[in-house]
Amino acid sequence: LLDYIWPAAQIFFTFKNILLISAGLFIGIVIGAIPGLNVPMAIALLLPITFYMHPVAGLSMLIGVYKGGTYGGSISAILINTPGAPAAAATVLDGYPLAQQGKAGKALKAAIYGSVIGEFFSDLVLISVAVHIANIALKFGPNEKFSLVFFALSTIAIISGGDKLKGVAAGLTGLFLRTIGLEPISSVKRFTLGIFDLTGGIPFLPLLIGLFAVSEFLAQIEKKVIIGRKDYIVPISTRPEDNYVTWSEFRQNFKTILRSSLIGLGIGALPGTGAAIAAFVSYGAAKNASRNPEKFGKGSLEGVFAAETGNNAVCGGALIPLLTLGIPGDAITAIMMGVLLVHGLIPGPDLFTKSGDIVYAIFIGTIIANILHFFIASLGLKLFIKVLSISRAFLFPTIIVICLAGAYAGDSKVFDVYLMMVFGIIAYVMKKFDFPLAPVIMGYILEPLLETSLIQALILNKGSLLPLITRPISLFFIILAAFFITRSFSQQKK
Amino acid sequence: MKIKMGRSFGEGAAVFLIGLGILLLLPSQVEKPLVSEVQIPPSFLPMVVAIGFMLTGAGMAISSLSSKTLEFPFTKVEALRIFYSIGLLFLYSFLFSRIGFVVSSSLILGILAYLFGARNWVKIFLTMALVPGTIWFLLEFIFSIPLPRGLLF
Repeated sequence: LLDYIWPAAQIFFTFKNILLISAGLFIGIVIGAIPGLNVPMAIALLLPITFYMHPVAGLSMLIGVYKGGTYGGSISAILINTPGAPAAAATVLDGYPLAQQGKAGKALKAAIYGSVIGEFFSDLVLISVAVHIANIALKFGPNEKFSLVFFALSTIAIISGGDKLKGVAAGLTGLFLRTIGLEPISSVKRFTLGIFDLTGGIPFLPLLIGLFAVSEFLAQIEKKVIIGRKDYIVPISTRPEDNYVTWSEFRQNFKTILRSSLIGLGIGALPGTGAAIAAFVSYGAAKNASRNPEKFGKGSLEGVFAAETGNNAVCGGALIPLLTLGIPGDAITAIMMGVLLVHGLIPGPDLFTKSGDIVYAIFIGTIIANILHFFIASLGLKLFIKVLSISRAFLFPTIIVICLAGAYAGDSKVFDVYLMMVFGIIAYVMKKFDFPLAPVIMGYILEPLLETSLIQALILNKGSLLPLITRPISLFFIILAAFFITRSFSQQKK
Repeated sequence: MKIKMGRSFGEGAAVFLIGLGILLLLPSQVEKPLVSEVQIPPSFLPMVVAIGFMLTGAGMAISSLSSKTLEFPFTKVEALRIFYSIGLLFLYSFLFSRIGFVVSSSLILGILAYLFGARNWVKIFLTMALVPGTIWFLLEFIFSIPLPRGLLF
């Protein structure tokens, strides 16, 4: 490390690199905050530009977009109940209720602090013990992955709030929706109802936007309209303490931040998982460990800290298998791998010895990106809160237009727009009957990993499920899942 | 006025029926794989989900027997407002591909702003012009994502 740090610093510390990271962060935050636009899309668009840059400059900019975009989704999640990115689906649960209490500023600041600390933590681990973490991640075969997904599903009972059975029904809805389309192993059609557009499955963006944004729009339509009066979607508190996170609040949530950082890092290091799963698992774990679990879902600051720390800690975690083993865990890291390959840098163990100065320059870039993230996000905060000062009469119609464009933008299909509307109506009815919406997303996200890992495990185990409880890591997650399920249902009985 | 209905038992029954519906649709809606020797058939997970729905629904219905009948939280005026709004949203989705994004969005923005109580016509017209225009510019020119142009644009 010491041999490379000085040459790496010389490569990284240029005005151009700092500017590129800042630009990446800004683009990421804006993209992340707009429902329909996503980080892989922004990274793919910026990719050709990076071919003409030094690999450190190019990768630093893309890392900026990655970090900014993962955080940016929380802005719209908190302010308008619409997660700008899938990773922010868990932030909605407490972020929007906090905004409804006039504490949007507090929730947004918690999101910034959580995101930046989560990033710092995972980046420091990436720099110091990346190889060891990667070796543990390599031990995750199909059995372990299935148990991990099973454990993640068990958190549905925790994030459900009031009626756990309704949460389970919502989770099953998400699982079922994802089974529509082509089956992942044999590629046969399931539940397409003869509709060609459903062959590719239910797309995520229309589902996400419909569930949260359209249902909220319909809920707002219900409210009585007073002609000419300037109504706001949520109040903005003038009390200073409602607009920042106090030191005692930060201290109270420090354990949650640390736990969520670890969860995000661990899940990020596993290829094929992602920030949304990390956010939900962190949220579930925080609620399970909390002294005030009843506050979750009603505007708990702990919930925002957990979700935002968890999803941003994935950023550093996802770079671990990429840089140490040459395995990209998702679309974003796959594109980043492309940048390295274009410049003749082959990710893997040799990268650290052959191009140590470049690797450590990238590491410095990740740390500097975190510092810049804090300042850029904090500067943008006042601007974002201004959104809430727009009258309801103009803001909600605008949100609907943005959502429609966002749902269409994913695959350029009008069918997706209709799907978004249908899911919006279903979600509105679910809300009316107190069915939680977050488990739908949770089930939808986890289904492919659940099904493929189960099939792979059965093939590997020659049809036996026994290794799920005989392999230590797998058994650990099964026990953890059983504990979570029992605890959440026993809490409901009380 | 509130519409009263026993919702808890009904909810459980609805969830149960969704599961039953999935189960009944399985033979016709899940194709058979070309390779006959598969560890898990493609219908396995949907079947598990269907059974899960049925068990959860049954659990909800049984537990509702000991709870009170709840009020359905809806007034007739609210129901009408929702009904019209849903119609408007579907009309927007339909027009979106026919007359183009900019024109249909301008129209819907004006109508919705009016329905939400806005009466400042300068602001309404500014919103109608600026919002679709900005989104159009951002998606078409910055991100190269084409939006429907339709007949009028």
